[in-house]
Amino acid sequence: MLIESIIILAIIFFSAILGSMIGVGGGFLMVPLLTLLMGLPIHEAIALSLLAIVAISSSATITYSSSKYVNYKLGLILETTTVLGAFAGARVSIILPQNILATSFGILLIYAGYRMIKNIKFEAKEVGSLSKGRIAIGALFSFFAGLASGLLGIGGGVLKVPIMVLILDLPTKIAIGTSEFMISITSVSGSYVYYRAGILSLYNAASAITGGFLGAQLGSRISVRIKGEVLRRIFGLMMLLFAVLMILKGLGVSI
Amino acid sequence: MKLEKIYPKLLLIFLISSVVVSIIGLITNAFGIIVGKCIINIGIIILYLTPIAFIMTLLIDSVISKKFYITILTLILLIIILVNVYYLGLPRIC
Repeated sequence: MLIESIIILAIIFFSAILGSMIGVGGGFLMVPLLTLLMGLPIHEAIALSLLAIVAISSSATITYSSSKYVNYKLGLILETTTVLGAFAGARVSIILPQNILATSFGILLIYAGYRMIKNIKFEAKEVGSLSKGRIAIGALFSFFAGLASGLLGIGGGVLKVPIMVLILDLPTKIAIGTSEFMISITSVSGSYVYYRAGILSLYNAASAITGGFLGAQLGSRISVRIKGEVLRRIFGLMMLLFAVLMILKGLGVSI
Repeated sequence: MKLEKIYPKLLLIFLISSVVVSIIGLITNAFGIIVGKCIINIGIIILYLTPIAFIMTLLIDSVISKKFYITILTLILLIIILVNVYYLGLPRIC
């Protein structure tokens, strides 16, 4: 039990470092590693990933909040629907079979990995006055970002940032900061459903909290000194590899 | 925002408390003490309270600086979260 907790702590610590270095939560690494390497049931891996993401995103929010990169007003508007999505996603996830979850995770991982390798940057636009229509569309899409978060145990930044930049014309840096602020609330909502359902193993949870927080702190400090471009590509390739493995696992092919 | 300097410190205090309590829980549990489970539960609850405390600070700040739009938004968000938490059941320490 103790050795398992230490390995889980190491996996989450490593994922949090890598994630923080390139500005993502690390859920895309944690769930496949915990499932494929540790052999944990995907529901438990998702629960642990969400718990670690609470620590990682809260830690990141400290940095972004100090740098004034968080648009609280917009974040709060979008979060009202995102939270509902996260609660709904987590409840659906609990009743879904493991193979469907693994395949869905693999498919989303292909998109995220492709984005990571191509390093798709969205054009920074002037922040204009937002129409109610665009905010409503943004809120609707945010619901689906929350749904994906609760369902698959990811932070959802990979969906939230494009929503804020492309639909709501937010500068990328502010979109990332606002997304981190939102993720801290979204992941709590999703994680609480798993916690109350008894899916979260308490011993592993302690490792997730510790690994997530320490990894995020270390990762954000290293990221200042390291060029993110190569790392981003390696991370993207790892994601594509995990995507294939997760889809194979979902299809019942033994790896 | 007037409380801007307080946010990071508040978040950090909650996060560090959660990590310290969780580590204590892990250690006590490793020695076979049953209380370890309860201590880890406290660590998890503190972590869950971190973003909620952040929203509460935003709420207080918005009331002080009379930004009622933010006040309404934070209240809506808190109500959504609390209703869901109530529906799912309150956390248990032991």
